[in-house]
Amino acid sequence: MKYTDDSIQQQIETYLRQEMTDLDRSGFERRMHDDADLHEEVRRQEALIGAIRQERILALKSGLQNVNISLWSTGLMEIARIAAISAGLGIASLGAYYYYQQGKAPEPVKVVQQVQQKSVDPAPKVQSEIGFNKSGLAESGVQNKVEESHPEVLALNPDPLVSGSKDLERAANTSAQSGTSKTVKNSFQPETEALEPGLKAAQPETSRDLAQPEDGISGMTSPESIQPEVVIKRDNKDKFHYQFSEGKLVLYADFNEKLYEVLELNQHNEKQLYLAYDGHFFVLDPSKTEISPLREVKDQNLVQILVAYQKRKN
Amino acid sequence: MTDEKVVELIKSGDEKALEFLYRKNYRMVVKLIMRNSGTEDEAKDVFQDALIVFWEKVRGNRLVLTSKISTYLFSVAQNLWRKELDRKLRNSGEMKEGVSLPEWERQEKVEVIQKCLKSLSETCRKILTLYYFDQLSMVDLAKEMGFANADTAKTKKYKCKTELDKLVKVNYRPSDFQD
Repeated sequence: MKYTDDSIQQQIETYLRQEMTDLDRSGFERRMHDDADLHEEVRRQEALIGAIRQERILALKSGLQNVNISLWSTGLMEIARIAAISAGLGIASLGAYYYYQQGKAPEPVKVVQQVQQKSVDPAPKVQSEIGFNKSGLAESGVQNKVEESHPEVLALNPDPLVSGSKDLERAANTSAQSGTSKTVKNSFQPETEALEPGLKAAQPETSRDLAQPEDGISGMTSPESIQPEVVIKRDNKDKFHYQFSEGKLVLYADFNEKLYEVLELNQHNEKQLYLAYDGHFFVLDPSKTEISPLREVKDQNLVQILVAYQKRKN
Repeated sequence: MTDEKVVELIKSGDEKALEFLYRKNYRMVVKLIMRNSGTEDEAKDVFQDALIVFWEKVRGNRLVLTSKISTYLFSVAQNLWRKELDRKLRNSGEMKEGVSLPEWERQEKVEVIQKCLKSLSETCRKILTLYYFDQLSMVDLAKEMGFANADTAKTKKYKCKTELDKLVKVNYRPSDFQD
């Protein structure tokens, strides 16, 4: 009982909390050695403090024991993560495979008449011509975008002299500025024979259109498009005639209000061109350098293929 | 939650910070223990002990963090597990020689004292815990308990301790605390 006063209790606590200097510590331990009562009091205090600490530790541990470890911490989630990564890689590989396949696929010609700003011809007296200018396409560098945003085949605006020409020019300017080409709906003026203001053939379709083997026509598309320049001459005498002249396809026809489209198929390892117009298909033979009549395709199988192809394109 | 925020919360005695650390680092410690011949239950124990060491040090302002908390916890857990492995090895040797430590006796003493602690008031239990476990200074103890000053805290703590002493003496003979 002689060690219950505050000062000795303070010393015992300082000793147990290991806050004594080495000198004080060794002195205190010598006293404990010589004094059994002090020794007993120290052990008792040690047990008390130990018990207080242990109670708190148990309380904290019990709190932690109730903590819900999220799934991310378990092996199960590790497996789920690996599975998710594998699935992601699989999808990416599949995407890369299809992309590669599409990149290899040939693309058919699809003629889209289009306004090109720099090709607008200011001369009013020149014979009407529509130039399908490939170099112009290359310069604009936007044809694929056009095809994606305007899947319809478009016809022509024939007259730069009429008021619509300014609209065309503006459209071309806009397209050049915005980086996307604009196609122009037919606003044909039949009495005019002016030069077509640099409308040009569309570049090949985007490759995604070709990877659809289910319709059986993908294999018939040509690996290398002929892409002829198309010139339209409205000549009543030679209505629905055509010729290939200096690498250009000249169509003698009155394409009033209707859309036309040049399709290219690869048949029997040969490229074959067809003109689609008003629900009919006509054979275009590149060897015809003289004005020849447009011959309608009668073979129903071929017509079906062309219809399917045209539908898919549009 | 940033490390700074965790430390701040622990200093204020918020146990949510401990739970956050437990969730965040559980997998890392379990991996460590299980790769070193431990079980998940042992890993839990070790990790909880490591967190308690961290708690005590932060609460008692005895920790200067020079690394991330996760790094600190990992090394504490590693040390604790090493000690546990040593203890296991020692115990297995002692068992072979037919000698066993009277561990149960020590545990029995602790349990009796804990019963005495439970007889104390809630305030006294908290004061003693904050002082002996969290090792708060009298100034911090006063702050946390809402006492006027450190002297008040010291007096209160002294009274609580004396009360516990009395209870323990009733339940124990002096010889129970001799080596």
